[in-house]
Amino acid sequence: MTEDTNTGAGKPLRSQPTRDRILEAARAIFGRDGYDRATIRAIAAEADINPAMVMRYYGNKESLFAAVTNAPVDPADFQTVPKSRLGEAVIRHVLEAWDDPERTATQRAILLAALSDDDARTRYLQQHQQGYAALLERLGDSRRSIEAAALMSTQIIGLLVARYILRVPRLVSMSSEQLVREVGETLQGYVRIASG
Amino acid sequence: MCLLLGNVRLQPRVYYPININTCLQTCVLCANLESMDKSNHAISARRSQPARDRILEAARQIFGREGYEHATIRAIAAEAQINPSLVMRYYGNKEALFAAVTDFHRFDPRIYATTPRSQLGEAIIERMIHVWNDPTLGAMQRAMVRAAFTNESARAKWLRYGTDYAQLFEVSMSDPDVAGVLALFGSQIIGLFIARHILKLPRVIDLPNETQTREVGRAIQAYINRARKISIREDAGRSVLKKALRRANSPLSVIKNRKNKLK
Repeated sequence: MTEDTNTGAGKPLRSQPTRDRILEAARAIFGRDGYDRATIRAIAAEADINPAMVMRYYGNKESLFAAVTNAPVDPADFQTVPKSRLGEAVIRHVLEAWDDPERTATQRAILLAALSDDDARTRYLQQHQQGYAALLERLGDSRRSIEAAALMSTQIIGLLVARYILRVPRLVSMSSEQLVREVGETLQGYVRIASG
Repeated sequence: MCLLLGNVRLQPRVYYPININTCLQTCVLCANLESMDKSNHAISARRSQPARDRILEAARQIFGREGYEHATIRAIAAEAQINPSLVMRYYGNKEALFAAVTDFHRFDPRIYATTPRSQLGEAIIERMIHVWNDPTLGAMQRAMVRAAFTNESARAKWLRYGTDYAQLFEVSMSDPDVAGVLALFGSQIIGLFIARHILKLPRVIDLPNETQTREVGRAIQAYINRARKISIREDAGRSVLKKALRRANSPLSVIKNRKNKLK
C-alpha cells in the first residue's frame, strides 16, 4: 500500500495539516479508550483544536472513526503475486498493517469493538469486505474461490485475536517472519482449494 | 443434553452437571466410551441439587444473553427465583458460577481415545461445530470467548488449552517451537468460531458444515503434524546426546582416555 493513498484522492488542501492533527489525535484516543468511550471533546483536546472544528471536518464520531480506520487493501497489492505465494503475501500484508506502531492500537480497538458491539461489527464488516474483494480479485470469483477466501479469513481473524487481543505469549513473541511462514502455509492450503 | 452432540436430552436428574459421563448411555459418539470408568457418573443426591440445578440453568440463560461482564448474581437469582444470598452460598461469586456453567468446555482427551492420530484434525473440528451449533452451549461459548477479552481468569482458561492438546498429541509444551505451533492450531479454531458466531461473516456462515470440517480439519491436522515432527526430532536429538554422554562416561572410554593421556 502506498503512503499517498491514505487520505483519499484530491488535491492538497489548505486544511490538510489540521486534518492530519485531528486524525493523529483520533488514532491515539480511539486506540487508548476504544470506540465507545472516546469522545470528540477528548480528541479535540489531544489535537489542541476546537471541538467545533473537528465536527466541521468530520461530522461526527462515527465518520471520524471511519476516516481513521480506512486503510483499504488495494487489489493491486495481490495482483502481481504468483498464486503459489499468495498465502504468504496475504499474511505479510496483514501483519505489516497490524505491527505498524501508528496503527496497531487503533486496529486492536476496532476489532475488539466489533467483537462486542453490533454497530462496530457492521463497520468492521465493511472494512473486512474490502480485503475480501481484493482477495477475490486475485483468486477469481468461482464458488471455490469464495470458499477459499472465507476459510482464509477464519485463520487471519483467529491469529489477530490470539496475538493482539488475547496476547497468547508464544504468538506475541513469535517473529513476523516465522508467522508469515507458518500461517502462510495454512493460507496457501486454502488457496489451493480455489485452484481446484 | 449430550456434551458432544448437544441434541440428546436426558432425564432432568442426569442433565447437570454436563459431564462426559452423564450421557454415556444415549450419546452416539460417546457409545465407544461405555466401558469407561463411570465412578464420577453418580449425581449426588444432595437435597440442594434442585436449587443448584435451577441456579445453573438460570446462569446459563443470563450469561448466554448478557455476557460475562453484564451478567449479575442478582439477575441470575431472579431468573432462578432464588434468594441471591443462596446463590452466593453455593457458588461464592460470579466468577466461580461462570466457571461452573462453562465446565462443559473442560477438555477430556478420552473423547478422542479411538480416533487415529491422522484424523484428529477433522474429529476436533467436527466436535467443535456440534457444540457451537447447540443453542445453549453456543451461547455459553460466545460468553466465554468474550469474557476472555476483558477478564484475566477467563483468558487464562484459554491459554491452558494448549497444554491439554499437547497431552492428546503427545508433544511437549516446554519446547517453544511446539508451543508456538499449538498456539497457531488454537488460533485457527478460535478464528473459525469468531468468524461464524461472533463476527458472523456471511461467506463463512455460507460454508457447508462438511466443507468447514474437511478444510479446517486439514489445516489444523497440518499444525498437529508439525508439532509432532518437531517433537520427534527433539526426542531423537536428546537420545543421541544421551548415548554420547553414556559412552563418554563408560569405564572403557575412561580407560582409553587415560591411555591417550599417558602417551
